[in-house]
Amino acid sequence: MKLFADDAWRTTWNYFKESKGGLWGLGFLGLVLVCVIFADLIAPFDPSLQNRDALLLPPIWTEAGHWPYILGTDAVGRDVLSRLIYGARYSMFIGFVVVSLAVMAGTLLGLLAGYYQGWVDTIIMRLMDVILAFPSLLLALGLVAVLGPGLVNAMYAIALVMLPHFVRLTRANVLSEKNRDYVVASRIVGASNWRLMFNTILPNCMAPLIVQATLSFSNAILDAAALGFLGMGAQPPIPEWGAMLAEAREFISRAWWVVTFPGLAILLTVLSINLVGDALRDALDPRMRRS
Amino acid sequence: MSEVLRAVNLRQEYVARQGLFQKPLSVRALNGVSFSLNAGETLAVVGESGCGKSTLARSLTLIETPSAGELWLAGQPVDTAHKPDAALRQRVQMVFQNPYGSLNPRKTIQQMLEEPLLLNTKLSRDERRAAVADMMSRVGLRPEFVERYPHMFSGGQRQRIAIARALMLKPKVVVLDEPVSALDLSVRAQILNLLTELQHDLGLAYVFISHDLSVVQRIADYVMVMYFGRAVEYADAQTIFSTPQHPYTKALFSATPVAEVGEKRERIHLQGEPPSPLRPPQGCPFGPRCAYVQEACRQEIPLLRELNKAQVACIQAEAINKNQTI
Repeated sequence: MKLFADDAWRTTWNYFKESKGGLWGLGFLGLVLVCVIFADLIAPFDPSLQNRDALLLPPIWTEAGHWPYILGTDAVGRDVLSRLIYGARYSMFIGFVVVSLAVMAGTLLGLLAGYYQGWVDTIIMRLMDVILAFPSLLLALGLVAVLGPGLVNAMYAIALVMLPHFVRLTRANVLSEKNRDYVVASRIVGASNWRLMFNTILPNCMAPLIVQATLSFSNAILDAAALGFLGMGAQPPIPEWGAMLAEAREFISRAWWVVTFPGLAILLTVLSINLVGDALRDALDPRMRRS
Repeated sequence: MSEVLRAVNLRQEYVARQGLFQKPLSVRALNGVSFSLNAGETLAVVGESGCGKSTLARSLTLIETPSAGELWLAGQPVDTAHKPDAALRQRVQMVFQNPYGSLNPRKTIQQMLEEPLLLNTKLSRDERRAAVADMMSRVGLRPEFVERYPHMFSGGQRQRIAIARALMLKPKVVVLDEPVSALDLSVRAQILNLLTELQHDLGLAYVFISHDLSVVQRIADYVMVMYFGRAVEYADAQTIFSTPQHPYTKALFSATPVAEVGEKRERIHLQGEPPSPLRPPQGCPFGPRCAYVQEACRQEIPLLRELNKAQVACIQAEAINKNQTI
């Protein structure tokens, strides 16, 4: 069994390599991951350390910029580069936890709703409709207000807000796959409901889920930032990327760098994840492989 | 020859909802079908779309339990009130019409073929592997192909794989739901040959569902013609092809092209559509489209009765036969 698993990984990797974009994405994500793990070693400054002599210092390659503030400083004199490096920890953490929570719960609920239909379907889907009926930020805000402000509670709230999208996507796919002949064939052969759901139907519904998951990653980071901005998410001085963006909003006309770099970090991370997601979807689909 | 499958008065009803405030209507997709089948024999079920052929297949394979009637499998009654017994279920397997939809695109041939063994037997990994390789060569595919995915095969090869999967559990009865109608003409003959060969070797009983009469003529021992969820004629293949007696059978058979130059045959053109199952017609369901319809036909639904070595569900059959011989 071990050998087979190794083999499956190797084939997946061989097909993944075919995608240039996927490799670039993976490379950038690797860089971010290094920042996440070795932030203490790489970052030149403590992310909360303020230098009153260097407020809103521009990046090093501009005339006014000077060493050691490579990407400049923010309004209270904190090094932007150090904050970005430490911020990677929070943003990646938020993205992964929120998306995994939403994907796992959403896929399970969607699978149950689509497979059993009837009253199970009705209950799950009406609940999802209730969640969808609220403006997403408002619902998240309300939930955090109940749970208490803080990054972890904000993550639960965002995961819940994202849940209906995954449930609906999974359910729609399950409904269309469920009555295909290969599912009936497995049933005739004696497959149980659980086997049909998880072994037969689910793998054939993965492609749109992977795309949706990678797109949601960016939403999770941005929503967490919005909650942080409203004082309900990451609390200062946590250098979360979205929160940095929100804090720097008032300086956008005077000091472009305080807004640009966190924005760029989010953009590149999200882009990389989408590229990796696309490549992964193709690599995992036997139909896309050349024979 | 031992009897492996017997259906007595099989019925299958569906409920069709008409809207929130209207009473739901029940649709009888299968309305009292009876037959019996011995090991090594083939029963062909023919009829136009919507006549209940596929519903029959679903009932026989226990995907859906019949609403009424009895089903006997390998001499044992199937308890239709409860979940079918796994051991009994293994006795009937199915091959589907479209080989592009019946194979899971995410699984290798090995995974697909060993699934029945994995779920129903205690064979070890190596034993399963050997069984799959054996079955692959039996259906005329190279055993090395087992690690490939379905999309790497042609339609005919896929249908061979589907047949292999159906045979993994050594069933007594195989329901073939139009197994060759999605295939090329040249491949069709190969698959039919394979099926005949397997039947001979393994003593399988086939329920062969088709609307292609030239194929039926080749493979069937018995033929059941269905119309509107009922059998309208049931006879052995030779009898029914030489002397079809029910007006619907005649019309159906006259539509089959014949490969003979210069032969002019009379085509019987049916008027209209099959009746809506939501509003069944009075009396004989074929009445509205039948050329020989009489007032008596509208009185009651005709039942199958013995007539010239066949079973026919038409009260005018003798009169029609006499008319034609004159």
